[in-house]
Amino acid sequence: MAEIGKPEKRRVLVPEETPAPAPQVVPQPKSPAKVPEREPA
Amino acid sequence: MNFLDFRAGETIEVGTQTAYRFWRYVFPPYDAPVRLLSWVSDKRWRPLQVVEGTTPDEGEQGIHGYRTMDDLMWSIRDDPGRLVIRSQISGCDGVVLGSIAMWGIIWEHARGYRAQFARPLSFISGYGKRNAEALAELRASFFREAAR
Repeated sequence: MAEIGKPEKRRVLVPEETPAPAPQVVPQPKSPAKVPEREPA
Repeated sequence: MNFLDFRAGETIEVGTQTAYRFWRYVFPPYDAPVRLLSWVSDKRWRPLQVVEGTTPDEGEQGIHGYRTMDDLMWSIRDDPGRLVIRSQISGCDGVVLGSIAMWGIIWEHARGYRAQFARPLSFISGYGKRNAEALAELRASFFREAAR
């Protein structure tokens, strides 16, 4: 793609809407480990 | 964007710049969605993805777009058929004309722009083999999220 003519001016544009960040996966709390009951001596 | 690309005293604008451009499209030989490719390279444009070009601060690099559709049509001598022939020489099926949003570093030219980032805004018309099918498929795949 050519023929856009001579460069005239440099600009910097920041979009108003920035791409949404990737959703974070929140780890689910693990259920507490069961403590084995003591066997009767 | 890399903030080191900003120059001292440079104004930073909020927003995007609309421009017009054309792409090549190709139907894969197997049952897969139509592919959208840049005109001068095999860079593939994908749905819901931002395209980052090479730095517009060097030479003629960056993502190119025309200021208006009239500038685009002037560039191709009002004859999309010439583009179709050239696209088919490169193994593609045809061309699509449309608009894009540009941002980042942008160099303004007399008839267009070169930008650091871009994404398609619309696909206006298609020319070549199965052009109506290509246009419908590209619109559905690229803008399906916006239509919801």
